[in-house]
Amino acid sequence: MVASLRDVRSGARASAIPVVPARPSFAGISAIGGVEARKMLTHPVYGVSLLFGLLLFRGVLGFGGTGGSRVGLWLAGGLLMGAVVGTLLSANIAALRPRRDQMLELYGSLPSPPETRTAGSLAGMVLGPGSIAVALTAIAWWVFGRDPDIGPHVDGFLMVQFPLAILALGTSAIAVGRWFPSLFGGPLIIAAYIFTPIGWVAPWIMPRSSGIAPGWHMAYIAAALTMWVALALARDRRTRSRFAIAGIALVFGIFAIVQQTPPGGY
Amino acid sequence: MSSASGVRCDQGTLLVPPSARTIRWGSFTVVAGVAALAVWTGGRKGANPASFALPVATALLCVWLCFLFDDPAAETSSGSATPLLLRRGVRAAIAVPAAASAWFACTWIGPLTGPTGAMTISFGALVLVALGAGAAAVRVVGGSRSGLFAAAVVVFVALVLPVAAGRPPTVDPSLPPWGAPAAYWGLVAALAVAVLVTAHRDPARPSARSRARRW
Repeated sequence: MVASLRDVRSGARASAIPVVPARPSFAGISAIGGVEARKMLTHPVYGVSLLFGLLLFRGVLGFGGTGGSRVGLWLAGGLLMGAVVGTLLSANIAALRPRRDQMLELYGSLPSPPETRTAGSLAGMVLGPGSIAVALTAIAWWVFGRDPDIGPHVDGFLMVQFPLAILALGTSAIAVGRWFPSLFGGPLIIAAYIFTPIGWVAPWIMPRSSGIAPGWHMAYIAAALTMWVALALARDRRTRSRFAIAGIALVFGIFAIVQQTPPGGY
Repeated sequence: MSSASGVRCDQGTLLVPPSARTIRWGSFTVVAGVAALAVWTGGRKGANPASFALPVATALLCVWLCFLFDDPAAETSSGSATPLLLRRGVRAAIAVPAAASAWFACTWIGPLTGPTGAMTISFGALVLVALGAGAAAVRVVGGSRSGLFAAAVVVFVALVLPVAAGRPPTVDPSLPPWGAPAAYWGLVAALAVAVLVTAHRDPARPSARSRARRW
């Protein structure tokens, strides 16, 4: 029996697909990233999210569309709000695209390492929606700074959080899409942020005037980004190092959340 | 005539198990759980979940219904003699009661004491919007992408339009952007039924206009 078990084991080893030792190439990732960036930005979900963001922010501001500075505030805020949701949903769809198009088998047969697809999706998110987020943030900085109500709270620390939060949410959407292959993943992330205490325990965007510790807040965003990237790549190849990086980033992120909170709360 | 309806009845009965198998129950479990969590969270610290959390939970459940006609087996079953309306009717007869049960359970969470008239009529209208938009999207963009487009329509009707056009901006179904709740949601439901009926017309059957031209 021991001999037959040994035979089975050696047979399984001999017929197993060999592990690819190579790392994904920069050229491969950037090529896929370019295609993914275009696909994310031209996906109807992204455009519809920007439109819905404008409509929702119009209701939030509660104005009839008169006054130059209010129109600017509406456009900048609405487009930023739409960019957050649009990046999240389009990145989630990008992570699901190979599965939905039934291309997983084809991609699996390519000589490039399995991480190339996920790394390409992450690069596409940075190149596409990430670039749009930076451009929108620059416009919003100028518009928000001129507003008498929110102008005093606007500084570099506040504005840099917008693109970073958009990238972090997009990265989480890709990781969720890799592990939970359903179109409901994106909407569920949004619902989780709105309806669970995570939204106010670990906020993404806070002004300096709230009393938040700026250094620890940046550390928290960096930890969240690292954790989601490691988890997304761990779906392709479940190495101990990737789970260890995700675990360390999680622990460090929780520590940073505790440290960033002012003594009396926000 | 009676034998034909008997055949349809038998076909419908036979379709129940395979239709139930191809409905996304895993996603439904997660969506229903998040909807319940949303209502529970919305009712903490004395807040009224009926004005924001329950409408969002309603929209979430209706978004799940948007994917009902996004059937992976539709290509195979479209070649069968069973009419499209009957096949989709069976799927709707299985999925809509499940969504309605989850929604009804949500109306008893926290401080809520069951569904009110405005809540119920808005849920009914949004179910019809989800089914109508799902059916129209399958016809326009094809089966594999239709759910996303239908979901955008439901989110627009349930959340975006009331916030953008309402005075005050609210998603509370008892305070619609225009008119009384019954009239507003009744109009939404009527439009959805019109889309649903139009989207289920047999493409092989000539339209009324072309039939009149023939005369």
